[in-house]
Formats: sequence, structure tokens, C-alpha cells
Amino acid sequence: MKYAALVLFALVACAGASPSPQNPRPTARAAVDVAKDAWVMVARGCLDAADISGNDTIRAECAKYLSPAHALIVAAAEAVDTNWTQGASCDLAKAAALIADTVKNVNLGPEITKEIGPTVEDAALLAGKASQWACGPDGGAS
Amino acid sequence: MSAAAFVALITAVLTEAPHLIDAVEKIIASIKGQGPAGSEVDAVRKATDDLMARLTAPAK
Repeated sequence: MKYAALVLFALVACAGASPSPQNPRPTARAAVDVAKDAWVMVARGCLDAADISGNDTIRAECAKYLSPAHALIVAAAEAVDTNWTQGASCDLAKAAALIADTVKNVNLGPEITKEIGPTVEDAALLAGKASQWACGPDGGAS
Repeated sequence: MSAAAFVALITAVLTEAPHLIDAVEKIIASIKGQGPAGSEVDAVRKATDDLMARLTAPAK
């Protein structure tokens, strides 16, 4: 009975403990979540901008950046579920850079750009934190 | 304490505190160095796949 009580106490204590700074997975998971949110906001912004302006080329221009960003975010999410690595964090940093490039290089209009800007910045900052700023400017490991 | 009584006690505790089950899963996942299988990638795909299809659909 004493052992059972000890095991239960340990479980409760562990459940309430803060993530270890040695374990990058919680930061990685948060970074992937925010990158996903930024990607979704920009993709919706692209579709809205194309609809509002009647200019379907906006959609294709966005896809040039967002399609590879999508693949990189999915790869990073798989790494969160299995084994987080520096390479995965650099993939995420590259995805965040591609999302930012979309906003920078495709004319989505001032309102949409203003609306999605903070989330895109947050995605870049968190991706940088998850990679411990150790990736090259293109997102590759340096 | 008999085995049956011990099982009944554990069952009662877990029923009253279901978050303990989640805590056990997290501890096991932490030991294995991974989250619940498929959780993150499923969330990403659920949120993005439809938009991805719309972005890359043939031009109108």
C-alpha cells in the first residue's frame, strides 16, 4: 500500500512539473502549432485576396511559397511525434521564412497583411527559438 | 490488502482523477521521447490539407 501511495504521489508530482529545459519537444510542439496557424492565416489571406481582387494569379503566387512550407511543417510535425532533431527545427525555420516571404512578395492588400503580420512574426521567432538560432538564413543547418 | 481491493482502489482513484491517466500517457511519452502517436501531424493535416488543395487547384 505504501508503494501504491508513492507511485500515485510521483505521478501527481510529475504531472505538475514544468517541462525540462533539456527537453526541446514542448518548444518544438509550440513552434509547429504557431507555424501551422500562420500558414493557415496566410493561405486564407491568399484565397481571400484572390477572390476580392478577381486575380487568380495571387493564388498561384502564394502556392509557390506555401506549398513547400506546408511540406516542411508536416515534416516538422512528424518529427514532434517521433524524434525531434536539429534538422527538423531547421525545416520549421525554413517554413517560417517561406510564410514570411509570401506576405513580403505577394500583394495581399494592406488589411490582410496587417491582420496576419503578428502571427507570421511569432512563427518566425518561435521557429528560431526551437532551432536555437542555429540554422542558416535559408533555414538550413549552419 | 488483497489484489482485488488494490485494483478497486486504483480504479476508484483514476475514476475520480482522470487527468492521472493523461499524466501517465505523458510520462510514458516523455520516457520514449515522443508525444502521443500521430497527434501533431494529424492536427497539422486537419487544419491545412483543405486549404492546400484550394491553393493548388487548377486555375479558374
